[in-house]
Amino acid sequence: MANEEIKSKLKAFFMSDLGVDGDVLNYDTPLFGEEIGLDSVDSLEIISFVDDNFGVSMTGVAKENFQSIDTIAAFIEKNKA
Amino acid sequence: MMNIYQISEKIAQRPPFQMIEKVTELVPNESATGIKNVSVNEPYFMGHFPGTPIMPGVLICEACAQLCSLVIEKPAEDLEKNLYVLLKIDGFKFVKPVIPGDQLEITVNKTKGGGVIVGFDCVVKVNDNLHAKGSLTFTSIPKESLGK
Repeated sequence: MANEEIKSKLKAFFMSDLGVDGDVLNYDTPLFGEEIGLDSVDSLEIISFVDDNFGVSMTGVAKENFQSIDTIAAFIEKNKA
Repeated sequence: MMNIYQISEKIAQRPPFQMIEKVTELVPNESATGIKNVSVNEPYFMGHFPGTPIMPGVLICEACAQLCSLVIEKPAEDLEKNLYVLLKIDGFKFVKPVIPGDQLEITVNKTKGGGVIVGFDCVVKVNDNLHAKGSLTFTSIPKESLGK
């Protein structure tokens, strides 16, 4: 799966499941900053989505990997089978 | 099918906070249908509201959550170390009031999970009429982390 496809799937998930406004969500927008304002409950939803859709476990993974769609996609790319 | 004695073996809640009294259908880790009989003698009706008893919506959610917890089957060693707790309540609608004398027929169906979170769609009916519906999400936390 191309990196671009992963990012686009992640963005669709953030918009449909976590209620993020697509107009302010770019691939490098900080997810847990003031603008988007996700919290630790959302991070569990992200972990579950990534596990179910890409077969990559992000449980216990360092915070830096959750910073943006770019960093999550990079982690998936690096760790997928 | 589970009666109140079998339910009490599987969940920790006790009266007056036991909100499922019978399970009529159960597919482990998938779905269940359960019954909650609503009596005028329940303590919360004294205050909610004096003279016009209505079952609080949060307790309808609690009844759904207790049925979900009966659906989630985990190995004994997992349940010894971890506690399954409510993480999110999404889109709950209370379509019609629940009053004393109503028998809630609650159906829950797993929509996602198996990993860090487990999600369910819940439907609450009385006499086949929809009274409430919504989604609940659970996660597990290590018991030793509680209060820290």
